Amino acid sequence: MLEEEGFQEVYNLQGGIKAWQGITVAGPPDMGIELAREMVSAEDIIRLAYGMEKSLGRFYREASEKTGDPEAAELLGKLAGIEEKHKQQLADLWGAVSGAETARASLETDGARGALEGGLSTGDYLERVTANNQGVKEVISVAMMFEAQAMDFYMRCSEEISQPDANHLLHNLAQQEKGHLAALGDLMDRKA
Amino acid sequence: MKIRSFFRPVRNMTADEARAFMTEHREGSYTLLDVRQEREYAKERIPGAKLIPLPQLSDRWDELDRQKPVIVY
Repeated sequence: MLEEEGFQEVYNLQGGIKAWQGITVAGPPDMGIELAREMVSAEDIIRLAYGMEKSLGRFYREASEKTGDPEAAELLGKLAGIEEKHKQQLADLWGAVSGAETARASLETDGARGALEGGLSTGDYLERVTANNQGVKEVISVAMMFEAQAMDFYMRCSEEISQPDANHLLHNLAQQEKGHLAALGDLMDRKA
Repeated sequence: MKIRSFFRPVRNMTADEARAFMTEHREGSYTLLDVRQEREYAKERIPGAKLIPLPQLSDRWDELDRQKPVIVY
């Protein structure tokens, strides 16, 4: 029976999740998926991702202004800048996919929810980060959590959407978030 | 029922090896499969993991791409 299944390459993670010791995420398997089910085109996915980056950028900007830690403020400002770049990358992608020349303006004024992704809320986390002058490592930790949740969300969405171009785009977005996560991890190591 | 009985061949991978593998491979080019129960998955999981609880695995093979490497936990 097992040979018939035809799996080419299988690995068992020794020790399971307890051995992982890396960043993890939480939430039910269908968290935020109602958003994915509304996505019928690559433009829909880009619009959603743009809203997510917009929310995260806003979070970073507000946290930068409210934190009492200068180093955290500087870092948060940098992260906000990175999210601006992500938005532009998505706008460029939108232009390529849809042929629209005013992609950025269209995306900014769109009524996209911008909920911080996969069901997360910015309010509680903003308070957590800025209360009691949370330090740099706490800020990085929260940012890593958001990036990890975004990556997880894109991958769960890819399970819902079978259209090849859209599926490929979701994988690319997840890959980008993985890169952001790695960069934040490197930053965390330097701050340790 | 052991996870090894569902796949062949199965090799072990340490957490460090898994991390290196995932860093080196693009998202979508492999499957990270969580075979625990939904409650456990919801509480904590490795980002990007797909959930198919072990008791359901034999009925849901077709959800997995046989050509892609699978890391199971």
